[in-house]
Amino acid sequence: MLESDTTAQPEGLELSETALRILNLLFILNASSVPLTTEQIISDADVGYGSANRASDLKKFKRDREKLAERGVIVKEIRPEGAQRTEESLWTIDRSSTYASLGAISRDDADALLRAVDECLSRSDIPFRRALLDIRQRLQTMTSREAVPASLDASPSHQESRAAETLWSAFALRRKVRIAYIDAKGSESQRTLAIWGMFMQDGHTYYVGLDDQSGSVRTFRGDRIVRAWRPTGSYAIPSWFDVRDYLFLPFDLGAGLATKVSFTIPAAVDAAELKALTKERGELTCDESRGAWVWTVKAGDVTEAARFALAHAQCGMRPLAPQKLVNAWKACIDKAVAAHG
Amino acid sequence: MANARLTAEQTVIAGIRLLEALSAAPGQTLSAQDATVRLGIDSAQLGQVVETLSALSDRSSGARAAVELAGDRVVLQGDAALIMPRRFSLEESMVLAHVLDVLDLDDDTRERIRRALGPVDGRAERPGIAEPARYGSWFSQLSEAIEDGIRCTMSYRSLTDDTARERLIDPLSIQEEHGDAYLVAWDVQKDAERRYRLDRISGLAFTDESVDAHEVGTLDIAESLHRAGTSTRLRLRAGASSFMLDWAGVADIVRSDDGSTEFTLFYSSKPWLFDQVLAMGGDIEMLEPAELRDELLVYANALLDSISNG
Repeated sequence: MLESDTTAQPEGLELSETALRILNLLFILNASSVPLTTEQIISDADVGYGSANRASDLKKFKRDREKLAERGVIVKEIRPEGAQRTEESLWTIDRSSTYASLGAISRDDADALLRAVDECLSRSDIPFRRALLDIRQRLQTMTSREAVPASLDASPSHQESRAAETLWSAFALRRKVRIAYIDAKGSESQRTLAIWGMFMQDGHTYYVGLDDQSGSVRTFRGDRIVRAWRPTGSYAIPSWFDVRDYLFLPFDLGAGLATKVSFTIPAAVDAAELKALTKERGELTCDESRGAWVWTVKAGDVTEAARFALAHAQCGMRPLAPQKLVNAWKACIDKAVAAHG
Repeated sequence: MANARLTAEQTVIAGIRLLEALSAAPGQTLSAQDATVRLGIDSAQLGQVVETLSALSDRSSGARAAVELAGDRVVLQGDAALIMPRRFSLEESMVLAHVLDVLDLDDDTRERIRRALGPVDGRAERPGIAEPARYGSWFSQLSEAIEDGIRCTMSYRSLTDDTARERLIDPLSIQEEHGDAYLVAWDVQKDAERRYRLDRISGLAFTDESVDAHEVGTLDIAESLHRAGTSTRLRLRAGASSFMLDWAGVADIVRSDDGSTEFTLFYSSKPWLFDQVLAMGGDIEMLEPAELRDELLVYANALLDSISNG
């Protein structure tokens, strides 16, 4: 079941009026066979505008268009060719941008998509479960498929904290969000975050974003965010940012500067297994003289990198460089052998 | 207990979805229970949404959205409020792009789905959501084979294989364990149930045959390992990292006064077991069986040789 927003005010007359006005705007534009003028819309008291303050109504109309756009309903402005700047605009729903192309998705594609969505829904570590259920239900509407299986229909409010829902909403809408965060040492801080990306790993959700307190891009573990306030203030994500760079490896953390380490992996290892092993971090090149892949990545802790290579030795992974890595790998084996000698 | 009244934003979201669902439903009617499930709201919240929708009207045409709760059904009368299914919103498209990405659906399917349902400007192609790869490249075909009961040939490289080799399988289900995804399938030649890590599957093809009926196990990986019965007794040194105690095959954990921990580990691959013991660098000792200790030492020497000779 839906719960109220983290910081939502008690439902009152004003909120009901806002919902009614936005839905009425959709209704009149959807029902009209011709575009409507700005004046027709903002002078209509039945829709929810038509106050004595025209400027205020124009602002409400703009906000309402933006709210509808967030829900995938695109209201477009039409200015007839040659129209004067002083002439008022016409408004209509951009049908090709708003409505799905019925018939364009085949039964096979819909089936493939539903199976993929159901697989994700069967997992408990997904922070955007509500959106997945929405996608499934929309597909159900489009394809007359069966309802969501009861086993997948867990209510998100039971699975996700309110903070997680707010964080997801902030990220989806690109709004900054103030959070209360408890770090690994137990210290609580409040900071404002522009979330650039999120990732799920080892049963946790992590949010990566520009943190106002440090002025740098930081990663925050979801279960340590104990409160999130109403998102406010927009931002853009730099085009160079790739959240996949933040998937972590067990040898990332360490004191001092990171060291570039290289491993060989047999050429027979398939691309999918390589992706799973390397988390798509670092650089992977094919060394034909060795008949192997060479994976080069930064390690914060060289000993941990050696242990990682040993833990994956059965797939043919071996340390290559620097010698410090190879020595750490050998030392690890020597210690294990000594313990069994 | 009833949930709180919906906020304005939640009312808008639910209102649009209800109009969409009613427009697509036969006779433009849904049971109230179906509507609450589809919208993820309770019956009181459904009443709030219906009340809001029923107040929608167009002064110029005189049209109104005739939505009402009639007994245990929600009904939409007339054509004025009919709306077509929308394309996915930016939020939904981000999630969809991630789902297609992580399950590695082929590019053509992705493009057709994106064109039919995604935002027309192609936003959300980079969803900003990531997770470690786990499904390999054959999820879509495997899930279709499981659903339709199709026997397959599969190219798979196990831990003990240098290269992938072909197997004839009846796919049964997909399971997850500690971040890895596995196919549970019946190996037709071995006439036994097996598990295959999805990212190690390098090829898959449907045969013309259907799967046979099998005594399908509903065992999870831990139960399956226990049933296989190959085990070793290990001792974890006091103060050592204890992450391995979370492994699926761990049983009979005994903590000693000196801080060390003894446990039994059920396993399916010796090389895998040896690698984990060696990677602990002496923090863990294999207690028994004695012959496994000897095999570990031989394996360790072979590894050291492989790097000296490499």
